[in-house]
Amino acid sequence: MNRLPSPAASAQRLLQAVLPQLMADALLGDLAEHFQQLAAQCGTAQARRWYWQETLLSLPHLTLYALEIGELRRVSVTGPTSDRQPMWGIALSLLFLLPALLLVIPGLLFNLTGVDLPRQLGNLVGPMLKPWIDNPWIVLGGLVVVLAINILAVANIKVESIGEAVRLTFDVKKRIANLILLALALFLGVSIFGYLLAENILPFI
Amino acid sequence: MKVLSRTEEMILLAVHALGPGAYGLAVGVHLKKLTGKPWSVGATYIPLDRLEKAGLLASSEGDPTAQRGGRSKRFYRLTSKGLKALAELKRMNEVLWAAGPDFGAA
Repeated sequence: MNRLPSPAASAQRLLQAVLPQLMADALLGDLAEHFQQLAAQCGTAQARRWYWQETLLSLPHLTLYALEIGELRRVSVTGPTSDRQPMWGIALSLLFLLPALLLVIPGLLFNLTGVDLPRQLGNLVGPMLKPWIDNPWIVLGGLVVVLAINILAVANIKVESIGEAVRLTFDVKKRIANLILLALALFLGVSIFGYLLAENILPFI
Repeated sequence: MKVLSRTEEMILLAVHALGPGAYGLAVGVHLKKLTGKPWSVGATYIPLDRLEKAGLLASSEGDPTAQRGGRSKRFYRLTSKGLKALAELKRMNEVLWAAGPDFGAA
């Protein structure tokens, strides 16, 4: 027996999170019915596109309506739900962390040992990476990306509301690699921001 | 009584036109056919829910089907209050249009 094609589970979850209880069954059923008709006529890919389009078009109105009638049951902001480490997040974080490391570590070494590594590093990394490292604001921007990626990977924020009661819960998933990257990004960010403050503001005080 | 919005008026008329087969998806398809504009499910269900809460529509559940992922249809019908509201709207529209521009000669 052929199995019926199904719409994207994430789109269904998004709708379920905001749909008022009485409306949920009928609306999701209508969407599923039209999805099946479209899939039979035009193929599953086009039916899935339509389902996403309907979800994204309806989501703001449904959320506002659920808030208006006090029936927003559950909004959940969370990172990937699987226990597997999001490898792309770690790779991207390392890429964005590299300029910050090249900026901060030689500076620390210079202060501790007097060895002028930044000049030697500038020659080493070549003309392509040097302007990037030379602009701490760009490096800080990269660190913000690293923070965002890793916060999403470890944080699990839920806002639950039934009627007038609202409950906010926050917990951290123990993903060691992401937590280390977060700590490193915070340390490097604070160091560079401190350096920028000292260089640009303190001289005027 | 609160004056209904144009969308609510169109939804009530669609429910009336569809008769016993009036459920969310069918109402959206019917209105899309008449207006030529897309009606997202949200744009159909929110006024349906409002009108039901206001007592102008009543609903009942159909049987669940596999094609709908085991979910039921919700069929809507006009209540006597809904019919009165439509009659009042028609009367108001006729009065307003009586003093409106005449497109007949154009």
